[in-house]
Amino acid sequence: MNEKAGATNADSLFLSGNYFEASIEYEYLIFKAVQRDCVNLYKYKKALCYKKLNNFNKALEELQTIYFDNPKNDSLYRFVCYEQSLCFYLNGEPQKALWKIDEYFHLNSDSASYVDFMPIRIFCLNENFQWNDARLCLLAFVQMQDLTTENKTELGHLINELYNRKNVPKIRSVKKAELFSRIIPGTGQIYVGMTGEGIVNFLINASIIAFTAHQAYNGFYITGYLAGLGFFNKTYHGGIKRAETIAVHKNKELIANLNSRVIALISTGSNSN
Amino acid sequence: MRGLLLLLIIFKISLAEGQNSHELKFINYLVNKGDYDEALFLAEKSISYLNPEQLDSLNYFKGWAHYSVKNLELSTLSLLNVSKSSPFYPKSRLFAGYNQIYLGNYSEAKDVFSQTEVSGELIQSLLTFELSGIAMLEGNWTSAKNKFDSLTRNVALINQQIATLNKICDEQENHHPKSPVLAGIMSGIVPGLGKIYVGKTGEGIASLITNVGFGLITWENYRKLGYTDFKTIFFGSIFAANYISNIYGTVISVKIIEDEYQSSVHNQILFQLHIPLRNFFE
Repeated sequence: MNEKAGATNADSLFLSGNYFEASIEYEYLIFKAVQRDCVNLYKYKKALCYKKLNNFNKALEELQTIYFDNPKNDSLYRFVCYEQSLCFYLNGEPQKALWKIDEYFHLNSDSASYVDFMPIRIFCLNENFQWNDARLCLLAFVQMQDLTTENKTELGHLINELYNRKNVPKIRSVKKAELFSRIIPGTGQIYVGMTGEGIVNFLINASIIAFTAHQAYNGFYITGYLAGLGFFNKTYHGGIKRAETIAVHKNKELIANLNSRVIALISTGSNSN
Repeated sequence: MRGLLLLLIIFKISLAEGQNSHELKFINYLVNKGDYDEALFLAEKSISYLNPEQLDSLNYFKGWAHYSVKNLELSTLSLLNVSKSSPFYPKSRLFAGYNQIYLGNYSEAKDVFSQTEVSGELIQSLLTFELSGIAMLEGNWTSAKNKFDSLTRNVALINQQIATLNKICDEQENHHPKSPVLAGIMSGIVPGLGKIYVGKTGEGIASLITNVGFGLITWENYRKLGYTDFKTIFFGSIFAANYISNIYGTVISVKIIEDEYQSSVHNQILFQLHIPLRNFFE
């Protein structure tokens, strides 16, 4: 099988959704290829297979082995950078994705090519709670779109509204949640928005403390100390840990919600055109 | 006409052999790269017109890939299909035998090693070494030591492992498992003492503190409220349950600890049997 036929076969496997088989075919092409350009292209395509298989680590491993003599003049460089930043984002590493995008922006002066990177950049900035940078990036993204001036103005208003101080997600500080629960059990949960759970937690801890105090008041010092405080120790520290977990979970939910609103906004802009 | 047909068949077979040679090289490349799933996917695909040498190579690559992804049964099946004429034969036989040891199929492992036809002092030493390891895993410590003694001492590849395994043999010969009855009695007298006796000092101290704690609570309530009061009965029940479960737990833990110890010895033997194989063949 010659290289061209092999590439066609690999591409058709990819297009038909047989990503694993396609990745093997691309590896075979890499195995046989002599020119670096060809190796780079097949590695890129192999990484796409892994991305489709949701194996972002392997996709990144493959992309990171692609070497460019002159990145500025190689058209593949842009696609490789894009896939790297996307895989970093999908792999839960927004900081690395931002670093990759910035690297591309730094090496490439053609601002027209930035547009593809903008959505990933916006999502990554959102993940890092950099609201103003995300807003500016989204505004720049809208300006780069092929839209009417009215549409651009309207979207600009919507973006400013979305990132308005009142509308940006109220990110809960994990440290504050922990501290609140440490001072008054249950308040950490109330701080992150789980009022019911916070009240229940407070009542459980208060009941145990009341039991301890009652026992001590009646002269049952050992019962109060061991049964009361021993049990309280568990519920108190468990409550603190729970407040931290809820805060992290809640923040993730808020960011996911914001990103969905950004996607809806971009879709609205595209449809209105 | 018949001659032409024959020529055509020969041409097709030689073309397929050339193609297969490329495929096998690629499978070898994938195995060396660590892409075992991909290598297996290709190896499992029907490759036609393989000559015996190519078939041996294919079986070896399949066996090695399965071994690397811990599919030891399939690995053994493929490795045992490698014929004597193949350069991969010694490695395939030794690793097939090791797979059987790992799977706990000791008699099958012994058959593999004893039926392996290889020459060379080093390989023969390796085979004897593996057979001694099986004797250890079967609990025949003296027989294992005798086999180790029969091995030449100047084989650097296995010297260190022989010393370690001999030490394990000595330890096992002098090993006396703890008595669950004694541990239970000790925990009955002083809660947690049985666990300290079997080597779980931390758990023993924790049991002692918990039992003393519940005991003190029960005593305090009994002293102030009498034995008929609900609180005394409640905390007394917790204390009793804790005390009895601690004795029961100690008795059970003796068996668990002995199993853990035997399992760690087992793993240590397997590890020591594996090292010379990897060092020799890689």
